[in-house]
Amino acid sequence: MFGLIVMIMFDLTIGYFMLKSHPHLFHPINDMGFVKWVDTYGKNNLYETAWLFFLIIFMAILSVNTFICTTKRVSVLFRNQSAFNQTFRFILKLAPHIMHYALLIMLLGYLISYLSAETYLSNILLPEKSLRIPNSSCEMHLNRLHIDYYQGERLQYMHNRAINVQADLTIQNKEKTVTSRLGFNKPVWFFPYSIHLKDFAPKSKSGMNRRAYIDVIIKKDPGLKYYFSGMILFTFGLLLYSIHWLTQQKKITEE
Amino acid sequence: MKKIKQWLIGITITLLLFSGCKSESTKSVKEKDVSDFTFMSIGSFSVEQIEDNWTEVRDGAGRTLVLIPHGTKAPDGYEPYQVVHIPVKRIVAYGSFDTAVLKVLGVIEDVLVGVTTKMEDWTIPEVISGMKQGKIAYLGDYNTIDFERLKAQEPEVVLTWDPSIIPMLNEMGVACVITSTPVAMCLTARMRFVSFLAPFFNREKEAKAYFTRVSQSLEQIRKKTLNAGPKPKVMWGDIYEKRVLVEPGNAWVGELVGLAQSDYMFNDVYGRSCIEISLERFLYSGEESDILFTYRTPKTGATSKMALAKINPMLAGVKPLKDGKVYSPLTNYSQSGDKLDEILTDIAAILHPECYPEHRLQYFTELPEKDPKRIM
Repeated sequence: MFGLIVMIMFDLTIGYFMLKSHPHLFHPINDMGFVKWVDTYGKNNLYETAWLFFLIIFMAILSVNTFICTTKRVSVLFRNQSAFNQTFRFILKLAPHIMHYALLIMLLGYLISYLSAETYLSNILLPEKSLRIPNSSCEMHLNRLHIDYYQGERLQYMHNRAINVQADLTIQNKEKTVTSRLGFNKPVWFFPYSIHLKDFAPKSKSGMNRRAYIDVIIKKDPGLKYYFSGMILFTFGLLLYSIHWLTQQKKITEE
Repeated sequence: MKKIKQWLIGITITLLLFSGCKSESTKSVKEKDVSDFTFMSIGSFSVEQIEDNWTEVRDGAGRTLVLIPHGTKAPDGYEPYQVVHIPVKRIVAYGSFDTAVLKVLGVIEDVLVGVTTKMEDWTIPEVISGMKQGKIAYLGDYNTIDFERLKAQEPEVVLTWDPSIIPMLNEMGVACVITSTPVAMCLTARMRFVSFLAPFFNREKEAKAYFTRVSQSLEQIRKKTLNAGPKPKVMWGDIYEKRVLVEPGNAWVGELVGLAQSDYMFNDVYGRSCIEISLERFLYSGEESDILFTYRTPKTGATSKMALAKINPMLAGVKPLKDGKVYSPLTNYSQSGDKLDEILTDIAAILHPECYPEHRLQYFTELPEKDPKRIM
């Protein structure tokens, strides 16, 4: 296990330099899916991408190892459940194992995401215009684009430059209509799609006179629910672990 | 068991170490034929030959387009606006580099039907004569495109850097190719961009010939400047009214400066071409630099060092203006992408004039201290 961790660390160090020096080879993995990426960028640039294939192998071994070890320990705990005089104490003992399972669920989520997510880039929406979400019957309409420009005195170079952007969208299909506000850190959800703001124009009131538009990324990611569930479960495990640790500390000070 | 583990770790680490090692110097000279590739990545662009009659390309914005011969049914899974029938017969180009690439491919006179630069601003003879004959139309400035005129020109493809026209082009059934990238093109991507456009016209051979020519010129530069004198410190950018724009270290110019035994002062800056940096950062590099390449042309005010300093007094403090050299691109510079080898040689000759004693600059001009006095 220690050897595996060392190898993962070493592999990630190489990965850091590869990502830094060849970012264009790895960006497409986010939108074209892992299988297609392996078939194109991955296998045609093996010198630069080999570390990622090694990482997947290492992560698979780590996941199998974690699953077997955790299940072994959990089954021992369940077999000796009667030894615990309180059910709560038994649940507290499960905390690290809950976190391990949560981590595996998160990894599973990422695996599903990279294998089956659909991502549509460069969807340009003009004010008062509509766009159909590719391969669906959903229509997206940009009702209003609101860009805040800096008008303060303190930062001269920022004067008349965009500091915030919000887009009011209406998305509809045959069954439902959703109206929501899209921002840089505020995606809009229209199940099973999520809409993310990537770019916009004009970014400045002066300078190049650009046509107003927003550029959105549309994602359909079935892995999302897994890694969100994993995160919630991990938080729950961490909470139990903290309670366990606090009660242990209290016991020590009392003694 | 312990020994096996140690061996496994050792083998994996060795494999990982070798996975990152590749000689970049051999990459440029031992290029494969373009037709040898089933997949080729060119910076943010890519070309993938899926079947004989089916090529998939990815443009600078990451949009996928499918290229199929005229008269062939498009494969399933693509929207109509993603389908391009090849060879493309009518094309509109926004950028001058894209237009120059059409010249490289030998199709400029046959396919170019629209541009966004006025006739008087062109230096490419084929474009000027095409505009005079009425075959190539001026479609208006980038932000005031005359879409009626564009429609009348019946283009099959529009090459542009402006994504805001995509919805209109989709409505008109015209394919749009974004030729700008979110991150500046590196030297290899700049040289190979021609291979991205080549499949649109079935001109892979011409693309390969161009790439070989530019690669050889780069190799010449490498050899000539290998033992050159002290490394000059170079900066490429300018100060505007409220913005400071430079070429980042990942851009082809930054890479070329390094290759020609010189120090590029914005090597630590990463991002798109013409990236904005703080004034302080620019002035800091300006204290040490020997050579400044300005974006301004003599037409836009770069007639002398004094004229530049007059436009922006902050610029007067940088070393190249005080006791170094300042170079301004000539009008033909941005429209001579087809002569990239000559441009690269021009830059190398500026950085190391001692290696190019006979060289006469064709795309840049050195700014004098003052404008010559006008005789009234």
